[in-house]
Amino acid sequence: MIHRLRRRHRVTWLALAVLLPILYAIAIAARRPAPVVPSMPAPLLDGVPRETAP
Amino acid sequence: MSRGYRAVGWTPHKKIYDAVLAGSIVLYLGLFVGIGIALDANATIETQLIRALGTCALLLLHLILAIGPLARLDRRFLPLLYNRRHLGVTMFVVALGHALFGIVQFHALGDVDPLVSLLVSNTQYQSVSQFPFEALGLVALLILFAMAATSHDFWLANLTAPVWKSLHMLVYVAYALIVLHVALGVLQAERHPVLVGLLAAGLVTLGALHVVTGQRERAGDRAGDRGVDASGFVEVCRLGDIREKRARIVTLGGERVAVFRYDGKVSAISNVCQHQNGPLGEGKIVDGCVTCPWHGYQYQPETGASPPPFTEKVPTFRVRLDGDRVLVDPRPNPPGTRIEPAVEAT
Repeated sequence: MIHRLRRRHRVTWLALAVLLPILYAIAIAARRPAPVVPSMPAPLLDGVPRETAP
Repeated sequence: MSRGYRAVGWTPHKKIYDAVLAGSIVLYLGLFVGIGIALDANATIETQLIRALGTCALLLLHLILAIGPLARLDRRFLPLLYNRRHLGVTMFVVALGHALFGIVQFHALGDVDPLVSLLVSNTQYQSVSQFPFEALGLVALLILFAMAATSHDFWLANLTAPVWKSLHMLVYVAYALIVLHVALGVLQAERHPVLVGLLAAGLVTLGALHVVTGQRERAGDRAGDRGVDASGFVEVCRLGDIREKRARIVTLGGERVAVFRYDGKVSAISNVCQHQNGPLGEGKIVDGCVTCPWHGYQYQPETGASPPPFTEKVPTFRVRLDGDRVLVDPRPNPPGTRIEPAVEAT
């Protein structure tokens, strides 16, 4: 009856309990820092395009 | 239980359950968006709403997946199980809202169809940090849709409980996809350790709950393996081990049998409710019928059949009393077969 379902449920969670934390750790470890521009172009610093600035 | 099919079989309890659920979700979304905008002046309401809906769906999914094992570990959680399907459908609707807002925000402003854009705008499947996490969310959403669409007794009855259960076990695949959707998506940019820790804690808690309860059930089944005597009957317990109008659950041939004691008689039926495979032996006899603790489906202990006009039936087992010893024939009779109960000596 549901003996096989119970076994499938148990095996599924045993697999998830092992694999998912590993995949999660890999995903977090693979994070790259957001690129930082060392010096901003002057027009962007002002927030106003140079040619239209007064 | 119901003879016919209705869209929702409303009861006062279900209405309270759903009202609390809807109120909690609205409150959560309001607080998330309000606090998010207050703390980050650059955040738009659309972005906050996408995040609020996503985290809300993720929280609900954790709650849904925790209810089953918690109810196995402690009966006080059983009321949560009673209306879990409404929780599941609500979670799908919230997840759908997250997906729709996300598609509109990030994929609907170009000259490509938004769904096509979702699938082709990033194809770096070989990269971890640049992985197209949206595809994982889309597959998970399709699974949740299939589950929500079949979350009704009509489908349960027509697909049969084992098939329906197998289909709904895909929620574990959806959960894995959603965890990776978050880890490869928002957590690539949002680097606060609390966010990483919260999802890790949810993952570990759910894994531990399911593994522990699964192993406990397995140990219980193994402990229940018994030898068969010459007459084909198996001694399962002493009469005094069974409380009046309650059952003792025993494992015979790998399957569970509920041995009920009531009004000076003892009967045995399958422990598996035909509705959603609930544990009948954890219920009690109400109005002369075995009553499933999950959704209240009822069966007559002598026949394993639901009282008319209902049609559900479960297998029955022959029972014999030898003094104080309770013996059960482990060979199941066809569902609904009447078996005379063993009568206690007066």
